[in-house]
Amino acid sequence: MPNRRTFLAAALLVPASAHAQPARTPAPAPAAQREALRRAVATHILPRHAAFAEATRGFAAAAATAAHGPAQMDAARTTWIAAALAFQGIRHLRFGPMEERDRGFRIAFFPDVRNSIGREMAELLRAADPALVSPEAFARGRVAAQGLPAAERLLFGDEAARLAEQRFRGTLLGAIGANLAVIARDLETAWTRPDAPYGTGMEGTPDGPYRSPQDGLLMLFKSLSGGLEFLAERQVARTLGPSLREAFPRRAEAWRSGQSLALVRASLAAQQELWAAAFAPMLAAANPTVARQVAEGFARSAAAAGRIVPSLESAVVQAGGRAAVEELLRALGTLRRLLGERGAPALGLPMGFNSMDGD
Amino acid sequence: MTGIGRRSALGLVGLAAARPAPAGGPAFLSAAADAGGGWRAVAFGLDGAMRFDLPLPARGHGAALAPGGEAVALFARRPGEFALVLDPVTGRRRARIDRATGRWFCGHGAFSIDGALLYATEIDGAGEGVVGVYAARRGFARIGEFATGGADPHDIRLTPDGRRLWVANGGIRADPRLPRVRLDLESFESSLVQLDATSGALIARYRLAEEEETLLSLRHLAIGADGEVFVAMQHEGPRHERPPLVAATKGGALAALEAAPELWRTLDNYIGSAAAAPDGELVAVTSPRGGAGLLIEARTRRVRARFAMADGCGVAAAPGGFVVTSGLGGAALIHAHGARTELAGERLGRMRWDNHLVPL
Repeated sequence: MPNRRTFLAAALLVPASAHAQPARTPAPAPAAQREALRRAVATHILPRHAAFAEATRGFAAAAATAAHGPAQMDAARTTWIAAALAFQGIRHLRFGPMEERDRGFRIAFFPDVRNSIGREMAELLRAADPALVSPEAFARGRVAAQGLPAAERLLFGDEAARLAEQRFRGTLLGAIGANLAVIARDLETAWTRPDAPYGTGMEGTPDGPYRSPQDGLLMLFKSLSGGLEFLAERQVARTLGPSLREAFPRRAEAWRSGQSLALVRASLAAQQELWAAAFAPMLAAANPTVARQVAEGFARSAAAAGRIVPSLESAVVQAGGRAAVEELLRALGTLRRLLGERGAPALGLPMGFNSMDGD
Repeated sequence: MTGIGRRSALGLVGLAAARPAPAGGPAFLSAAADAGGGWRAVAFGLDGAMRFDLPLPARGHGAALAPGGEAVALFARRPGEFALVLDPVTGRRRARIDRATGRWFCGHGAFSIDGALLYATEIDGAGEGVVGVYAARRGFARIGEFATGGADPHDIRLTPDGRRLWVANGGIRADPRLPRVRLDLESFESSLVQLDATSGALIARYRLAEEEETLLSLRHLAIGADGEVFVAMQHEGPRHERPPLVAATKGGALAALEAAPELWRTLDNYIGSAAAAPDGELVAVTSPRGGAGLLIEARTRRVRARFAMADGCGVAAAPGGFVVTSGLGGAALIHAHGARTELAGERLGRMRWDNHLVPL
């Protein structure tokens, strides 16, 4: 006869269907989750996509004539900044329409650790072939040379003065502008098309990528967590480097235009907006203490970003400035851990802390 | 520090061998979080019953069992302030090791083959790696340290003969004053090193071949049947790249395993944990981000099976396969051929299981 203990242990190995209760608060009712999704779409996703589409239209118009003179160049620069800031409003929504056709990478290939932008731009400028920069050609390849960072180099880089001299530079800039406007329009259309807007799919369909409103809400939560991580690690920490002597101000996202810090603040504000729209009301009902801590975490992060002066690039090469940048990183880290360790379980979302913040 | 003295390293072999196996079959220890967000160290059996469950002052990470099951050391997550030495049967606390001045625990450790020494991966204030050496029978006093020859040391394993240590230098620089902020994710140098367990001398350093080294951080280790080391990695480069995430030593080199690209894709550029079966024939790796794991045959270096586990990370050898835990609660036994059985137990399901699981 088998040892009683072995027998018992074997009997307790049960099939998946009898899985134990989850380690989190029961999820809110699907209706509440659907409401949260709709709030996020209506008050965050749609207006931010409309703003990006409008900003890229303005940039496309200005980019087309930027090579014609100093005033036109100034207009192109101003509209580039507006488009880059508007992109921060949606960049964290890195799923669905943004993932399709590599749109996120095509809008902003960042970070560019292998100098793909420089290499691809050099190829295009050398070839000087308009057929290589048509929207169709851009849809097929040269992901790095068709977005905001490439345009920034043409407008703000060391060789910006050559925009008026080297004709193909102007052609490339115009092509990037037109391309960005098309991508932005397609993104907006994906969320607004009357037949099957993306946000409705996020509420759940039997065969779609989201089976329930919870799946949709989980995607938004992951966007927020991933967005805050990207902001901290890629947009901020990589400029800091291990020490003052090893700082990398030129790893800042937009050092040529001096907009890196403005982009950081814009991204944080957009993600705060998503939190407030989708999750804050649900969490306030489920766990007011954690809800208050998250709100404070966003406020603390925004305040820390506000104390970095005058720019990210100059802050990281000065002791006092580094302290301010470090304070922002601390605040963002605390906020992100709070979302993963307390927020997700309290919201009943199956977002594990191993995926969110592992080693 | 230079050496530890051969006597203390080798003189106590066999002292702890006679301890009886704990009642109730195999047990496993993991750091965890409870429903209220409290950090805990929890041990459970295959029957799903809790063996012990105690609060931790902060989030825990990996653990190391002393040979013979005398004690188990559980480390705080990096940058860690403490390690706790527990009785593996009752969970009773035997010692608390506080970090040394200017040193922070990295979450992993290993005992020497005689149980006399505890080795812990640690960083200094600049993020450079050391192995802290603690004397188990002197209240875990810190008696020295070895340089690991790299930044961000993480997992550490003893060679089967007990004479050497393997350490994975993740390479990602961090400043302990900025907890969990990773600096410089694009020009880091990650390596696998072998150190003399007595003197700390660097015996060998392995890096991936240049064409394979696409911003991979070498982080977790498992020792295969022939003493070869399997290295589980994380890719920090562009997201559209999907490099192999497991490498293994062979002769004097470290080479990435060959597997179908879609297998690597399911791991989402991130392996969180690795474990080998006691005979070293099978190695398991888990990806909480991919919600998946792989079973790898150590000798053929082929992937035998893939399994799914949402937020699955902790993995430990168990009779017949591996136990895998989930950060969403629950655990499953993944059988050696890939079949799966959920472990029962209401508390097992309610606890959120952290990165690593260690057999007791």
